Amino acid sequence: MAKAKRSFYRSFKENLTGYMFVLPYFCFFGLFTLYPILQGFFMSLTERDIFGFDIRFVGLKNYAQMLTDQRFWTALKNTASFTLMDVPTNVVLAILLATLLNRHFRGKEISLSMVFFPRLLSISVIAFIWLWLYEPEWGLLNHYLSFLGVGPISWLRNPSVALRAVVVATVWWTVGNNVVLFMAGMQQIPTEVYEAAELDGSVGLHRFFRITLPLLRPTAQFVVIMQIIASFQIFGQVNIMTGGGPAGATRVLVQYIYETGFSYFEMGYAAALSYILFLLIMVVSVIQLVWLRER
Amino acid sequence: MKRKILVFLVLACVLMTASTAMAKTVSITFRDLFSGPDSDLMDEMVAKFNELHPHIHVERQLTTWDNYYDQLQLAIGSGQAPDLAVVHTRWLPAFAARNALVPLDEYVQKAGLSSEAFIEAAWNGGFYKDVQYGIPLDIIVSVVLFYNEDLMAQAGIENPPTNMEEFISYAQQIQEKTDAWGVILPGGYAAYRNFFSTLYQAGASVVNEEGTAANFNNDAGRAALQFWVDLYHKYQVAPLDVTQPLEAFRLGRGGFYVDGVFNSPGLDAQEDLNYGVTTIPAFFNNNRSFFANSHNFVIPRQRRLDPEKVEAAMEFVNWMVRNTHNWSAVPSLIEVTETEEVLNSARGQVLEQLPDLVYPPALIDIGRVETAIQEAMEAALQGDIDVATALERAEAEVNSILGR
Amino acid sequence: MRKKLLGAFTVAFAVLWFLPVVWMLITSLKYETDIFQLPPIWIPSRITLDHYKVVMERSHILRWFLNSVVITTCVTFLVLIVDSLAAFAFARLRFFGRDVLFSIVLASMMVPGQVTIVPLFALFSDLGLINTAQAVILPPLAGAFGVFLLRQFFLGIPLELEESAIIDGCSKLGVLRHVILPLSKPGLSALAIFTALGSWNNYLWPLIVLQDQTKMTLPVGLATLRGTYATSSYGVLMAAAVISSVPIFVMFVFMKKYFIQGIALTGGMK
Repeated sequence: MAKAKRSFYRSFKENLTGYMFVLPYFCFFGLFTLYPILQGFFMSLTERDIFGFDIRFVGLKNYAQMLTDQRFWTALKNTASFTLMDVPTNVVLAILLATLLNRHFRGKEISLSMVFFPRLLSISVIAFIWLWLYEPEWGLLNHYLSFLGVGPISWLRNPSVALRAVVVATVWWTVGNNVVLFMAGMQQIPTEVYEAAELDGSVGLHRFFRITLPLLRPTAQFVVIMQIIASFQIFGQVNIMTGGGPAGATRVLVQYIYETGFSYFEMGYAAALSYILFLLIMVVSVIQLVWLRER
Repeated sequence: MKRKILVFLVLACVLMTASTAMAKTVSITFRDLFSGPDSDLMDEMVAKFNELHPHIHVERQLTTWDNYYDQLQLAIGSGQAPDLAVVHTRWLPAFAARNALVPLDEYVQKAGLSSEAFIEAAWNGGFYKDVQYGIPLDIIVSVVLFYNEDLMAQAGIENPPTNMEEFISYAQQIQEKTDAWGVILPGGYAAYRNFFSTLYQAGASVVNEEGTAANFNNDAGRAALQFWVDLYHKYQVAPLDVTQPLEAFRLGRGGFYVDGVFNSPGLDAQEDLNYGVTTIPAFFNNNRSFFANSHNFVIPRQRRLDPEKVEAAMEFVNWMVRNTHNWSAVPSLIEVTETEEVLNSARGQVLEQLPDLVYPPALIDIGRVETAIQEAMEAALQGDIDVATALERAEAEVNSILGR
Repeated sequence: MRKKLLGAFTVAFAVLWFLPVVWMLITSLKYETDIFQLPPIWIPSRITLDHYKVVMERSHILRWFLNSVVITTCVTFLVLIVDSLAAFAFARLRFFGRDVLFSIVLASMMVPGQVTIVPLFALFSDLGLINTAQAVILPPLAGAFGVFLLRQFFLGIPLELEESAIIDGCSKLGVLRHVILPLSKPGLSALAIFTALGSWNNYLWPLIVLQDQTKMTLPVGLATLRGTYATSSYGVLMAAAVISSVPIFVMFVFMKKYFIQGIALTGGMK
């Protein structure tokens, strides 16, 4: 009896210690993650503006409205095309650069630094640099492209080019991050594997496709997933460089959510749009889990 | 002992009156969207007011033109609204209808401001559903024709164009006889204002009179948009790829430029540029309508409204509308428009044209409506879709917004 | 030979990749008339600091920079403290509901900040924290990645080391402080870099909650210059970009190894 009491006391104390350790984190977690998720759903069922003087419960009306909101579908399409362009470009380029950089040569360190550095620049700096490079008349890009007989291209004012232009700027900004991840992945491949391959006569490109690439799969999966999730949330570049224009060609989901809630006075609808974005990201994450299980 | 108490009492009284006198300095925050030379002018005006009115201190909150209305919404929505703000006539209904502004009727009367003293169109823009929410500072002349005198002389043109045929043929002549473009056109919202003006000249409008449906997807609307598209694609007198149109005109790379009169200070900076400003041609039907707008003073809704601050704000407004002699836009107060400073400036010319002013319709979802039209227009100007498709698309979207 | 060629190609590519950064610097130092010049002038014969003067005099750039530094530092330190406490509990302590709680944390990694801005704005405006640094510092503390990363790291530390400390009479907090944390420096610095980068580049949320020019962070403040100067002067924009990048550049030069190791580590933890 006394023993049971003591062990109850001990487990109570153990429990308490555990809770004390996680308490600070869960305070923030509750306030800034759980509560907004629940509150966001409630808001998505109402019609309200930012002032909040007049809140009406409208059920699923906001979700129904999306079905006929052409602007929403365009934003969804733009987000999808951005992702479809950004992810493969980013990953392929990062693998290539990592392969090149993961060798011994003079200037290796500084080359990696130069490729990585843009990642550290602020999103506004990135946007400014590319606004200037994309300048149709005086920008560097159109000037040098003219020697190749290309252009002049109206990078950010032509609706059919603008989104691609934003992708290029984004890849320039973020690829360094992925190069580092892939290099780390490559360094984890044991040298014995390569030595064994050399004995088999596997060299050069052959070696790259037969050995490096398959062994990089875990890293590649991680990078792809992170890149997809990041692409779904792209906002800053678009907001600063094009503001969603021209003719709505670069209006991605988060930009549309921002406009809806904070320019068009429709916070209820913005909350509903956020929930759809949330669901989309959930789907991607679940696919990720399944995909990672597979191996 | 008694004397001591007396001295103490006197001292206390002196101290108290002194402190109440100090407490009477009412401090108000004022948020506007002026930038560049306008911002400097506004700084001067505010400083002068503060100097003349020691009992009031107006503090300007700097913001940017870009996302001014987003930021104003955020400020009011988070209970951190400024005591006084500037809102364009076209945005006023959106804020008023959502109870974000304080009705001013009572204060306007107290301040002794009356409709007769103001230019009517500007004054009326401060109302939503017969309640006054705004007091106009000015009339912004957002669409005028700038012309490069040297290029016109080289092309043998004496007077600026007054109708569409002249406009197009002059532009062609300039382009033929000089190495400059005929016309340089702005993009973004400025392009929308230009299109808007021709829409009304041609006989269409943004929405019907009841404000229930779009009224631009018709022959007049198509003709208006086609005109701008043709300048780029058919006559090829305007370049599509200018990100800095004002800069291009300033450097003498185009004969005409259509934009707001507030761009003059930027052009004046270029000493070798000889340019003139006039009202835009009557492109259609001999009609000289053009887009107009006003800056209105409004009092945003506060969690707790302080009547002292409102009074101070009204005093400031009252002083401001009487001191716009050197302001970049046309003064709203008739009395000021009759002064030398105004009559002798580019603003004076516009005064003759007051009946041609067209304010944007009072719509509570103006942001969405204008975005819909502007983006369809941009797609057409870029040549991505034809004029009919663009207007059809915009009409469908506008109708669905109005029908909500 | 082939090896050398590939090396040279890589260096050339990296230089090309870095060129926009150089171009930003060159443009910021040129006279207005030299900026708008074709062919582009790579080595200007005359330079000016006028654009820097405009930025310094007409914007709050130093203030924005300072705000960003303060906010990033606070967020990083708080995240390290809060997350290592929680991660330690999840890795080493036994308490009722531990695994359920941890799965909830894991699941929340799927909820990116962008989707809760609307309710979060309502929350912060009710709390009266709009336009304060707290509004930007607090929400990242709920991030789940750090808890996850540190837990993985702590799990990799052999138990024996702690046991001797416990025998010496060390409390749980003492174990964390004196045994676990000193052994987790790579993990902590990886999390610090991950968090600091995220905070430094955060744009959407500060754009919404910071309205006063003097309260803004660097990305948000800089973006306000775009409207004012993109139509008139790229020199000014580039000068602002340089001012805000130089400290980062200096830091990177001195701490390159940590940055790159840190990033590599965040990817290794799956």
